[in-house]
Amino acid sequence: MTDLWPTELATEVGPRAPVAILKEQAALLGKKTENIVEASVKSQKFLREPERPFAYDFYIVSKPLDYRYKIFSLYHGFEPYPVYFGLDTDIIGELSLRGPEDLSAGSEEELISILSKILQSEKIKKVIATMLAYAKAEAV
Amino acid sequence: MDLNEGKWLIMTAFLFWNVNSQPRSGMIANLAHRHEVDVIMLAECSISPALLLSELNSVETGYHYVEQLACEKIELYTKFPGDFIRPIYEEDRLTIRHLKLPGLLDILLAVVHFPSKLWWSDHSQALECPKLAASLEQAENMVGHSRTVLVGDLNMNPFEAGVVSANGLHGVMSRKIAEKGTRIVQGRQYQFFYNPMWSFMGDASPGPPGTFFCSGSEHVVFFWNLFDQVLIRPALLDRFSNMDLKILDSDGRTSFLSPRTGNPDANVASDHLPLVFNLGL
Repeated sequence: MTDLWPTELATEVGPRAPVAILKEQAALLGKKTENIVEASVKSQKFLREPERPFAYDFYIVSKPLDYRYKIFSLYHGFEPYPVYFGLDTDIIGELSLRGPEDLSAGSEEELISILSKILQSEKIKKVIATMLAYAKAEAV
Repeated sequence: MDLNEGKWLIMTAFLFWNVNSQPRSGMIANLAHRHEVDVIMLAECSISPALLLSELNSVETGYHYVEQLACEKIELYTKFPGDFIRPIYEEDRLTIRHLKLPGLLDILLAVVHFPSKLWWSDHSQALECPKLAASLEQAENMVGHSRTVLVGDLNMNPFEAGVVSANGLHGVMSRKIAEKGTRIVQGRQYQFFYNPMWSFMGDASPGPPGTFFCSGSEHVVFFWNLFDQVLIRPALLDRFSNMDLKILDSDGRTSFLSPRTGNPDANVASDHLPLVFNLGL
């Protein structure tokens, strides 16, 4: 039988998958907190919408506290960009984000820029600090 | 009280109120004392914890302010230390607490303030409900049971698609149907919630005909809505009596309703009426 598939199948086409960027950042938080507070990314298989079949939730997690907090959801179509955020409204207010254009990223650079603002927001700093304090108090 | 034949349960009283950012610390305290509330859940509350605690503990001490973690839209006050009602899952508008009182049945208490119809269409609200349902399931998987009660301002009526649909909250009006546990739709199993709020619709039900009043000039207007709801998982139904669920129109001293219209008076209390219910734990 003749093989009709392309002779070369590339595994990576174009920019990095947005979820790869999320997972990179998620992996870094535990190192900063002695793994007391970590971040995780979870694919939401049954929450996908037809026009945005890729959906992920980004969490801050504390295993000692048995607690998780969803900071945002990220959606995109078969093309990796644009991506769309579903974000904590406290952070939306803090960062003065208005309208869908502020909650979307058309490129890897824009995604990293928005992600940086979110992860360095006062809300996230406060939540992480509170989780660290509670976890350490319980450990005593 | 004996809800289960041969088994004595400790009745735990819950109060939920969207106070519309009004300074109603006195009314909240009156409700808490009058109904011997153990868990107070407040939405749109901008009252300082110190002030509300002083009112709550004015008659007898015992109330605690439960420190918020990530969800800042729901305030909790309890008659026991916050360690017994720890958050296990939170989002922007949702806090899911593992209520574990010594010697009593542990449950999940999920308190939500869903996006308002002022900003979201009915369709958007319905599309968001599966995400809320998924969050509840995630928390249930974390604790290994589905003894969950969902309470809050859903900003939807019990008959709306997001509350009714299997992949949403799957809230049904009949306890007998909810007791079946789950239903399969398109090959996937979905847990029920029992939604006792259906029984509060209209004038023939006890108390006010809803929890929120809104009139309008378009064709379809319900006037009275049941936006504030309590939904109970089947695993907890033997701990819940419909007789113990009430929509309150007074704190025993002040009516929450306008004497002229009979509708919630936001100038006196709030645009929402509070709910109180008991669970036997």
